Amino acid sequence: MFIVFLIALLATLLILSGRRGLGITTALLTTLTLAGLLLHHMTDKLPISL
Amino acid sequence: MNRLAFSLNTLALAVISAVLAGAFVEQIVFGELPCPLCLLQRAGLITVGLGFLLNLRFGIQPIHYGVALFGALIGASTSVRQILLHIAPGDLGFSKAVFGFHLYTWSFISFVCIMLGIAALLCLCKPGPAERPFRSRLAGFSSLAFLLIVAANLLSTLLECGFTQCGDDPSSYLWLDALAQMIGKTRP
Repeated sequence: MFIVFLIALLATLLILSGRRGLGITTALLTTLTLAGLLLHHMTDKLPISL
Repeated sequence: MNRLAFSLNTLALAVISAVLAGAFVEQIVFGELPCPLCLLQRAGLITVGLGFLLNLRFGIQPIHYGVALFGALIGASTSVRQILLHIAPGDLGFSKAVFGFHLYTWSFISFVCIMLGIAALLCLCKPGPAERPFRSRLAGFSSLAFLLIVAANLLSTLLECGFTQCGDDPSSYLWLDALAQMIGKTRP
């Protein structure tokens, strides 16, 4: 579960340090991770243990 | 118009930081540890905040609102998932109710309001390249508060669940318990 907050923190730091492209990519990656974790919560079939 | 949109983005980021801080108050003061779905809803709010933060840092652009909308959609899905888990008659729900609704129901209402708000803000968007963002003390304060809240969520989740999957109904902090055990073992 920590992974989503870790990526979110990375995105926040990238945005605040002025890296727009990387910031947007990491923010979208945060959303993707969030969606993956939700899917995992619903199915328990993804090969992750986060 | 751009100044109005900028002020509304600043306000939105400040409100998101305040809501996340409120969740921490409930966690620390009332001792209610967040469940996995509660943590995902917090992450959804953070993702929405990232979109507003992009607007404050680089100027108002539709793609930044897109980032926030994706976060709101996934956050709302997480809330719906939790509402449906407790929808059966006789189910008292997870945690206590606030003004008649459980926090996950409030969370769903918030995400829907956020989506409506973003739709309204998109109407204020001008076509063409982004204008330079305004510098304001409140925007700086909101950004800093948001950064601290995200870092605090990471720390709290690590303390609660460590590197493993979080328990469905957590009652204690995994890492703090392990630390207490280690200290207990080393004492004579």
